[in-house]
This record gives sequence, structure tokens and C-alpha cells, in this order.
Amino acid sequence: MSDALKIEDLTVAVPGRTVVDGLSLAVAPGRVVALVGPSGSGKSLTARSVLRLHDPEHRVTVTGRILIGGTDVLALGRRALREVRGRRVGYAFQDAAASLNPTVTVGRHFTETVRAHDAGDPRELGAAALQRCGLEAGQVWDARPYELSGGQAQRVALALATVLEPDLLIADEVTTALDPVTQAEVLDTVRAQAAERGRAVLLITHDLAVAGRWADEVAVLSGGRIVEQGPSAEVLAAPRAAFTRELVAAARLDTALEAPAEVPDGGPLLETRDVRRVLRGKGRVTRALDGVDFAVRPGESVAVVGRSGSGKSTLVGVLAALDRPDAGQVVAAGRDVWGLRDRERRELRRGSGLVFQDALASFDPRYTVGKVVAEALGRRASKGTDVGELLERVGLDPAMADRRPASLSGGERQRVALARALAAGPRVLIADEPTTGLDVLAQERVLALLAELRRDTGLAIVFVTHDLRVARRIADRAVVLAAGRIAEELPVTALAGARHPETRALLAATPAMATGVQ
Amino acid sequence: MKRFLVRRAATALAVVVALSALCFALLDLAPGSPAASVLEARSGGRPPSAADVARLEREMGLDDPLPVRYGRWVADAVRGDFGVSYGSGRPVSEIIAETAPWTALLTAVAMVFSVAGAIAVGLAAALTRRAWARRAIETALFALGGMPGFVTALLLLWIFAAWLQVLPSGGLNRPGEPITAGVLIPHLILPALALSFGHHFGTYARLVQTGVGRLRGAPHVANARARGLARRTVTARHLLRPGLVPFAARLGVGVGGLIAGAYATEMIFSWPGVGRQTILAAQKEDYPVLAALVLVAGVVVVAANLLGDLAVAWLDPRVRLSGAAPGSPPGGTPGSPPGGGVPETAATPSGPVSSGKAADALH
Repeated sequence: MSDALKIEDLTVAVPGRTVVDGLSLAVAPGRVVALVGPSGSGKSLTARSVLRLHDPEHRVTVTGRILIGGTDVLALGRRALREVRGRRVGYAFQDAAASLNPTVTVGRHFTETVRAHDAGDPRELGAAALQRCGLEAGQVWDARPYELSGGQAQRVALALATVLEPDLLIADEVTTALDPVTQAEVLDTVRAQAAERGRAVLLITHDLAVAGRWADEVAVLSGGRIVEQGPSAEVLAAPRAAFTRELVAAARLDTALEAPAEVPDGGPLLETRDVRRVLRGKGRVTRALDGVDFAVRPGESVAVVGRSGSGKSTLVGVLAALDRPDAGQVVAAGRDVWGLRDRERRELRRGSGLVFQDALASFDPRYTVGKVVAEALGRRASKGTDVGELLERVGLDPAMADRRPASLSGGERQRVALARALAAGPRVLIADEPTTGLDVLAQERVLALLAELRRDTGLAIVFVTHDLRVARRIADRAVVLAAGRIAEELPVTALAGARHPETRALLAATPAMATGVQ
Repeated sequence: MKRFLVRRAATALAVVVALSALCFALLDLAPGSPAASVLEARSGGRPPSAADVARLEREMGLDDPLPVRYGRWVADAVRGDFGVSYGSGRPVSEIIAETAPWTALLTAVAMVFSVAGAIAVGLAAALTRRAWARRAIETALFALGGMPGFVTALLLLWIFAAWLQVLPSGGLNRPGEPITAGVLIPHLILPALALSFGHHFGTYARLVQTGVGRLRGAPHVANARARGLARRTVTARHLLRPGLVPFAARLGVGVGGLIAGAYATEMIFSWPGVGRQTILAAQKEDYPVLAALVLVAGVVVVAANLLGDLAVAWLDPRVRLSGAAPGSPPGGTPGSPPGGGVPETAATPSGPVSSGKAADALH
């Protein structure tokens, strides 16, 4: 059988740099092939080249051949290319919600796609595609993208990419931001459709464990070249290339990083007592936190785990004294946070440093790295040296102070966020999914840095994550949240044997810990 | 949407009420007796006797308590009766009826210039791949935006009326001469251009440029291209529509600036509109005319702001949800339950379109 996608000797270059260098790859109908590599390895550029989606502004030059069912995409005229886009090749993007136009309804997206290709009745085709992705059309058709949950948005995006039953689906990091349970559901759907409908799938991911669980074949990309390629089970079990071995090792790392020999005694640094928080949307009330007792002691590292919507981020807001609970107490250093005056509470907030998932969005885009950190230092910043010291402490070159966060890599941005969080000399670091968007190698470096900070300074860490592998690596203790309540609290070493159904569901959905890398 | 509408309409009404009180205060607190002015106008400038003035004041109800006089004034105003001009003795409503169409015409044409031009120029600047072209447009817009309106007007006069001599410098209002389209159109071009270029064209075009430019690399635009949509669909629906939100938010507010600009423009081009009339009334201390014209202009501005808000709500439905000022999209709700239905508030806190007035600040 001929390949649905055949890439021959692909070279992708941006001015001054060759990003993809002589890549060849084939995907047969009904097969799922994963293109795996860290950020900057050229995997997304490769994927985008298949439909020639590069922003003209970036002056990307693509040479080689990209055959879709025998047609060379790179040689097509504009009209013929449009025929291929959407009809023969579907493309699902990383950030599903952002990949939909917020000003028009979900239904409009389907309608315009079907109409652009004169393919039949939009509502009928759209409903069928949504159904295949596990959604009822009536549920989402008239909704707007921002009204969908993360999982729903990704399903809608997937249905939209496959509404015309393309021969090839390109899934570009589609589950990176999803919790493991939702990720498993979405990727199971992709796989099932590939098998049922004979659709070829090119799965772009930075997570080798994801590739191992959901792809038939893996191609490992490093520095724009494929360093290893083969059936995923073989590649993961016996990686030959040194780079693949490194990736496999990072994906496997679910053992704890070196913790301080002794956790100092003392009362809790930060504590919530029977905290309740109700969130009111239009016509909808959610018990985001429903009686949570949580404590972190000096020098301790606690992982808060749970799927999206379990209340993790609400807990972060409450712990950071940013969000006032409707009932219950938040106690910091022995004092009731909401019994204090505003001034004292502001002072207290300095005791905890905050790091967010989207580091870039947490910076003022006009600030340089140096200014971001200096602002947090406040009056204590007398000279530029303080900023330099902080940057050095998080493993960054002090010369980076003059750069803007947007020009940094994901891992570097997260380090800047960390430097800012450390500026006020906190005793607790509250990190909300800080490694979620990072590739395994960058993630590993950030985790190692956190462990080192903890060891050297006795910093306590509250680490919010939906990834049990990360929890196991960074924390002593895991608190499992479900629907606003603490489902289970246990040492991370006992995670594998957990009994609670919520913990078991998370475990089963986490690729490396379940069936993938063993 | 209904709640949003009601809230906005209520705010608008409150502003109009406050404005009417202010206008009435202007009228009421002004020095001199209206009765004396009327008598003076009737008799052709002879100072009236104190007894005549007192009698007329009683007749006009000027000795009633303040709230009664305000109530009466408002009731009359609602019916279109704004009293009598001190200067000419004619009903103010007649003066408004004479001048308002001219201002409406001038501002409407200026608005069309602005909107069509700003979208065209802004879009061109956002989409061009030639850096020099973009820079040239930006520089021109910057210069336009920085120039005071009357300087732009004088510059246009100098170029087209004095130097090239292709367009008249003003003087549309020649008594006895019928105004035909052939006379009107050449007289309209310069004032409308001056009003448009002098007051908001640069800002608008820059808003379109930044609004659209910011979205060029947005994932939803790449997705639209990846689905094989025609280029014009991608541009109109996926770039322009969400990209126009900041512009639309500014547009309603801009009508205020446009009317303010009309005052100077009408003076410079001796355009027989409300603006010129207002300034003349102010110079002559003709308070009934002044109060009425200020109130009418105020109501138009408030109505325009309301329409602008509605336009934004239509373009970016997220605004309706919050019911708050544009620029505060509904926050991401971390505790939305997994699966099951469409959670109304599960939102993307950093959607590709950040709506609203925040984008007013260009730099």
C-alpha cells in the first residue's frame, strides 16, 4: 500500500539557520507515527511544512519533497494547495482553544470548512465528526470556543480537523496541556479513528512516553535530523542512539531527586483549615474547594495532583493569599491571613513565591528579564548585582538581564519566573504546573534546579501538577485532589500502590507509569 | 445580552440626565435676565423698563422655584422646545433644525472616510510584507495623529484651496444661492477630510493595524488556513473580525472627538452647522441656544458610545458574558468540573483576542 504521507529529504531553513536537515519519513494508512523531539528540534516546523503553514513573515524556505498520496505539496499552486488543506490533510494544533476563533461559534467553524470544500451538509458532517470524537453536536454547536473546557476544546479541534475525513491527520502536541486522564481519552480516540478509518496519523510530541503508548512507530528528532526511527516498542525498550537513550532516561525518571537529609521540625509554614471556595459563573456554581485541610512544613516538598478542574489552581490562589476563601482559615506563620490588615497581608505574601504554568504570560511584555527580577526585589535592589546573583542562582547567565522574556526558551522563561519568585526571599515556593509546557529535558533541568534550591536553602515547595511522574520526582508527599476535596494523601513512594479510584485513574492514564516505558 | 443592554442603556440615561442638569444650570445661572434679552431683541435693541421685564419674567415663569423650572425645561426639551434665542428671537428648535443636518452630513462623511480609510490603511500596514511600506504608513499615521486638528485643516486648505486651487476654501452658506449637489460636494470634501484626518484617522488606522497585526501569527489563523479556507475568508473572518475589536471599542468614544472636532472645522470652513452655531452662540452669550446645542451634542455622543459598546459586543461576544467594561474577558475558572456540558465560565484567560478599551493605549 502506498504511503499517505511520504517526506523525502526535507530541509527547512529560516534566515541564517537550517532547522530541519534532510529529513525523510513515511506514514502508511492506518498507522500512527510519532515524531518526537525536544523544543527547537524542528518537529513543529516539519509538521507545518506538510501544509505549508509557515508565516510568510518568518521567511521559511522548504526544499525536498512532501508527498500526500503521491502529490508533491511543495510543488502545488495556491488553489490546489487549498484542496489538500482540510480535505486530504487535517491539522490539529497544540493549544486547541487558541486554535479556534473566539468571535464565532463552534458550528461556524465546521460550516466554513465544509463549504470551502463543497463537501455536503455542514451540520450533518459536523455532527458526525463531533460524534466520532465523543461530543454531541447539540452540546457545543452554538457554543463559542472560550466556553469549552480544555478537553472539549481539544475534541472540537480534532473533530474540525477530521470533519472531511482526511487521509492524514497531523496532531501537533495536541495533548500537551491536558491532564493525563483527558490526554488518554483524546489520544485513544485518535488511535481508534486511525485503525477504523484507515487514517494515517503524524503525532508530534515531546513526550517519548506518549509516543510509546499511542504510536506504532517513533522517529526521534534531534537538531533537525532523525537520529533513530523504528517500531515504538523497540525504540523505547532498546534505544540505540545516545540522544534517544537520554530522552528515554528522562521519560523514565520517576524516582525522587535527592532530598535534604533532614526536614527541619516545626509547625506548618502555611496551612488551610477546612477551606471552602465557591466559584460563581453565569448560572453555574462550582464548589472549587470543598473543605480542604492542607499544610506544608518548613523544608518539605508537597505535590498537589489532580486532573483539570479538581481545584488545584484555586488552592494555589488561596495558599498565596490572593484569593479569599468563602469559609475556613488560611494560616501563614501562625497568623490568620484574612484576619490581618491589607498591609500586613501584603507583607505576608512575600513569604511565599509564586511560579505559574505560563511564565511568559506572567511577565510584563515590555520588561526585560532584569527588570522583571528587579521589580520583585523592590527596595532591596540596590545594584544590578542582586539581579545577576539571582539569575545565577537559577542557572542563567547574568548577561540575560538585558533580554526580553519573549526571546527566551520555555525552560529559560520558567527560570526567570523562579528568580523573580525567589527575589523576596520566600520560605515557601508555590509552583502551579511550572513544567507542563516544557519538553522532558527542559523539565528535568527545572526539577533538578528546584531540588537543589530546596537542599541548599531549606525552601519548602508546593508543586501543583497533573503529572504523577513529576510529583514522584520532586515531592515527598502527594495530595490528590478530586472535585474540590482531598481524595487521598500519601508519600510519593506509595503512589504506585494507591487504592483510591481517583489516584488509580491518574496512574492508569500516565503513560510511563502504566503500559509505556517499563 | 439583554442584561448587558439594559445595564448600558441605564448608564447612558444617567449620563444624559446629568448633562441636562448641567445645561440647565448653564442657562439658569447665566448673568442677565432672559426676559430682558427677549424684550431687547423684540424692540430692536432698546433697553426695556424694569416693569416690563418683571411682567415678562412672571409670564415666562422665571420666578418659580428651581426644580419646577428645571422640570418644565426638561419637559419642553423632550418635546423639542428649547425656548427662544436671545439673539434673534427665533425658536431654538428652528435653529437646531437648520444647522443639525449640516453637521450630521459633515460628521457622517468624515466618519465614513475614517472607518473605511482606517480599515484599508491599517489592514495594508498589518499585512504588507514590505517593511519599508509598513514603516512609511506608520510614520505618516504618526504624523497625522500628532498634528492638531486645526493645523491639519489649515494644511489641507493651503494645499488644495490656495496652492492647487482645486477645491473651495469654504463659504457654502451664501444667501440666495441654491445648494445643489454640484456645489455641495466640492465644499464638503475639504472639511470632511480635515475632520477625519485631523481628529482620529491616525489613531484608528493604528488600532486596526495593531489589532490585526497581533493576530497574524495566532493559532486560530493558522488553523483557518490549514482547513483550506479561501484567503479572503481567512482575512475577513479570522483576522479582521477579531482584530477590529479594539478599534470598534474606540469608535464609539471617537464620535465625541468627532463632534468636538466639528466645532473647529466648521469655523475654519464656515460650514453652517451646529458647531459653528454653538461657538457663535457662546460669543453672543445666547444661552438658550448654547444650552440646547450642548445638550443635543451630548445626547448624540452618549448614543454613539452606546452603539460602540453594542458593536464590540457583537464582534467579541466575550464582552457580553462579563457585562463589564470591554477589556476584562471572563477569567479562567480553575474549578470548572471535568467533562459534562459546556461550563459557562471555563474560559481561556489569555485568548488571542484581548478585547476592548485596554487597547486604547497604543504604546
